[in-house]
Amino acid sequence: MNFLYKYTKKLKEYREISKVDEIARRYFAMNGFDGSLTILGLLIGYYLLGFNDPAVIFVTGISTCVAMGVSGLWGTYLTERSERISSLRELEKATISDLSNTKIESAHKFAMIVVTVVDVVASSITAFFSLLPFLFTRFFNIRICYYISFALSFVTLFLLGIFLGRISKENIIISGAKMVVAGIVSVLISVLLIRNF
Amino acid sequence: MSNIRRLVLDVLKPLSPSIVDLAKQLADIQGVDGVDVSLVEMDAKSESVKITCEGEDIIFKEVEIVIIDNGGSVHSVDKVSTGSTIIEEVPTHQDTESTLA
Repeated sequence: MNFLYKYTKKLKEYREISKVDEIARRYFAMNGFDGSLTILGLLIGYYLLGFNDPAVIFVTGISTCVAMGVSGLWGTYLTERSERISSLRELEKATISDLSNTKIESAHKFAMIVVTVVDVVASSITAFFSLLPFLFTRFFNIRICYYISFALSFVTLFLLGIFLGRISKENIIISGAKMVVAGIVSVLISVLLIRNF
Repeated sequence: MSNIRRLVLDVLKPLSPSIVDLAKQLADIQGVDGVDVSLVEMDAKSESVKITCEGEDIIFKEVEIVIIDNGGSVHSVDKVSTGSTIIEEVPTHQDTESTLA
């Protein structure tokens, strides 16, 4: 119990030093949005082309999730690492001291890991959430699965909007609706493109 | 060797962790009974602070480790009081003259 208390206290300290909360929130919203819209676009394409094989839809969806996860893992980790190293060097200059093996360096390393995990999880989970109905094609018609998936994508976008609205302390319904509009715009452009192809 | 009872340090540290956290951590050190941290100067990324520790048996190395772990560096040891009682600095004629001037 004492160990747990010490550990949570340490993590709280790292969070405060690295100011990771704000960055993690931003990454969560941005990548959750990307994940949801990407899968929505993929499913709209399949739907308009009349694709009816749930296994292919699910597998391509999952591989898209994996690709987004790997992209997040590499991209975010390397970006965040360079930013953190640069800010640590600037801090070393300002304090005229070597910050290696200090709490400050550990806090920055902790922030790199947290941000990377948030990025990977946000994009993969939101994308996977929209693919879930295709696991139940045995019970539902494929067309119904498509509709539930579209609905889940819009629900995810709306929830992300609510999340952002809560952060900015604005009207959460309007904030949610703004995200849904992005989904509608994406669907309309996809429909126009595919119909005229 | 006699104990350190009071220690005054001039420290340059990053803005985060705050002086509140630093003071709490210094007070947790064994042998330290009380800590005072006052802000002397503030910059965009760093701040100069004056740290005063009082206790029965202060171990300087441990105080320094906590400061370094929090990203700070000891610029100077401004005052040390040792022995069984704390002796306050006594003003001399020279000090009085310089004050009058």
